[in-house]
Amino acid sequence: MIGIVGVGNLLLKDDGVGIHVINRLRKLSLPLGDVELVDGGTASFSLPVHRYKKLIIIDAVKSPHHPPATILQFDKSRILRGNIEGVFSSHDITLFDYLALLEMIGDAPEDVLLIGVVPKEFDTPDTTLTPEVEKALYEVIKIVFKKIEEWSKNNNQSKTY
Amino acid sequence: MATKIRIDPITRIEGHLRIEVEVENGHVKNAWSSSQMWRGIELILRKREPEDAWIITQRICGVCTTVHAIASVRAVENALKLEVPLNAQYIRNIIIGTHAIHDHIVHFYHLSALDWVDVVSALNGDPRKAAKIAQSLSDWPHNGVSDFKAVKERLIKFVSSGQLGPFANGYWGHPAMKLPPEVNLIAVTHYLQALEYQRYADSACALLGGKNPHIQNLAIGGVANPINLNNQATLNMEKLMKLKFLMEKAVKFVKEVYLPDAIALMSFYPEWFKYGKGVDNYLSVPDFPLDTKGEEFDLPGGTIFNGDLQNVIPIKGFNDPYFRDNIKESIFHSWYEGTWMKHPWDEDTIPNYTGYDVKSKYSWTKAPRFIYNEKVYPMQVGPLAQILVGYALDHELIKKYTKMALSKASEISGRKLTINHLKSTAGRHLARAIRTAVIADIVQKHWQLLVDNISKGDITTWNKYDYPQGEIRGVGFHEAPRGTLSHWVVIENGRIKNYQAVVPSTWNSSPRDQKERRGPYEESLIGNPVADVRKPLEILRTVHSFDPCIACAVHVFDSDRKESVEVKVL
Repeated sequence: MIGIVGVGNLLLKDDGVGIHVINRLRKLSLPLGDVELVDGGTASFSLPVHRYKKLIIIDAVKSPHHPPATILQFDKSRILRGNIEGVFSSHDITLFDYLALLEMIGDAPEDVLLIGVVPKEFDTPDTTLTPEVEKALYEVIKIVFKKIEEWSKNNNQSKTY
Repeated sequence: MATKIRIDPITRIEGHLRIEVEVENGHVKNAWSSSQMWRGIELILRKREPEDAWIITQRICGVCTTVHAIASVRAVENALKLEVPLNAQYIRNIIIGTHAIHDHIVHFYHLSALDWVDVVSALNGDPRKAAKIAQSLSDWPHNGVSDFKAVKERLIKFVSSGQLGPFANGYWGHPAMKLPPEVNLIAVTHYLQALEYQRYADSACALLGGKNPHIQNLAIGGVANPINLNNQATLNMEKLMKLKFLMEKAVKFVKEVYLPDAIALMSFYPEWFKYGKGVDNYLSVPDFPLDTKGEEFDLPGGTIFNGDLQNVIPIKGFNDPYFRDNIKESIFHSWYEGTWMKHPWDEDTIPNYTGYDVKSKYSWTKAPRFIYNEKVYPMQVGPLAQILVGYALDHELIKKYTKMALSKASEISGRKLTINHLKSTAGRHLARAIRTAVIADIVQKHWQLLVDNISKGDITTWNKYDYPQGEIRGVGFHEAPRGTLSHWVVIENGRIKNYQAVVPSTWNSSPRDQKERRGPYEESLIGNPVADVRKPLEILRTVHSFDPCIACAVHVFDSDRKESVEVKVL
């Protein structure tokens, strides 16, 4: 099964971009069946990420090197290597550490893709996105669809429970 | 010469906490706790329908989602004078209990054990010796030589691959780390096993709550779980049996692993029963209601002032004016307009950031205080407060597990440990484990109460209500894993007019008030040892023992050398 997990704080403007993506995806019909959408909020240990063979995480990723609304992608080995210099998610540590721990006990998904969006505003209490990040949503959704397609082609078998 | 250390976060959204301490001759002389982030939840809720509040307040924090939902519905119900059907109380109580078990396990193992456990030393642990020690402490079936051997091999592989993950920033080899390699190996093994077992508690919670991590099943006046034992789509016997199975798995882990581990680990650090006492006033609220009105409970609440357990004052129920009328918040040192001290219903929330200055304003956190006999008290909240209050009130389960834990800890440490030793850094960890064992018993009882009540033919889960014209006020409290949580709501013509959340970490991380009384974190750090100002592990031990909703980066400023070191810590 493929899990698509949006994380972030919906109450802090662009910080909630991951949740906004999940809400958008829910409104569309996904092209493939074996996909689960998860609004992860700001949780880590409560996220059922161990259930997925393949996992996409969508999160706000702060970076001093990139302008707001830039989309950054990181694969599993990069995530497991730990903090990315100059770039870190605003809610990474526990979720990424949790993934590393799951890897250690053999429970981590086979493939992981982190799609990070650089936020413009993330400390204003507000449930909407800035127009810049709002625009980036469409690109994120395209990446998600492409990845699902790629994974489905490479591997027609799903992890069964 | 005093050295100032600043522990400052970078990334956590659960609340950015900055701890600043002055160290002299290896001990903390003064301390300041500052929240660096403003949540603004009160402004988001204004003018909304009260039904929205519990859904939105769940988003305040990533760790404590369900607790805000519970406190929020209780606040609106309190304003409406609305009773909650028995089934709904039991279902909520099972959610509260399983969430607490999950939360306490994760806190002990994954968020704080590495303050005491040296992962690198575990690599030198002998699996045979480890098995012998572990088997002497507990009947847990996964304490075999092969279990410890497998973890040791995995650890070696993990470390040699360079993927240290959560272990990357630990203070390995720090002089304050004192466990033998075998005990470190046991602790790391249980740390990894806990990953699986915390999930059982969480899945139990999600089975009733409908969704992870934000529950969906609450409603003002009850819960949205229809009960029909013969219907697949509702709460039926099959689901109830699955719930029981999940709870039993988690409960077994609590009794056979978490509680014995907490006792053993703290007993290896007996000096930490002396440090970290802090504010000696305690507040907890009753929870696990047994009736529709909220007058009878399975866990007790009350206040203790100046450490005097003899004169504990119970908080009797959801409508007890002793709680409702005696809480005020001071913004004297907080970044809001004014210098007032007000009751939560009467507060306004006008942010006014003026820069970090400990002499004037230095935190986004308000300073909640309890008023008793016209005196103003900072209060410590959390499992320790609840265990002390319960012990003082002769609560049967709390007394049983506390006595057992203290006697076992005395045996291992070779020192006579009493109830007063719990008022410490090590004691807070022990109190939390005791509370988890108590809740493990209570949550199973509430499962039985639910099944029995349904068997009697009662399937009601929700009571109807209407908003009156004009203004009504309510308070909802809940003894959350981190302590007393209260939501305060003012409703006018069916819309929210004012909303304030006084959360456990606000009590504990509170800045000073207008009388310059320190908050619990600040006070608990005074006298705390610090062996190496560049690796202030001991500060983290004490702050983590409160279970703050934060993890932070340590920013150390050594004024002698004028150098600054930054270390990230979970």
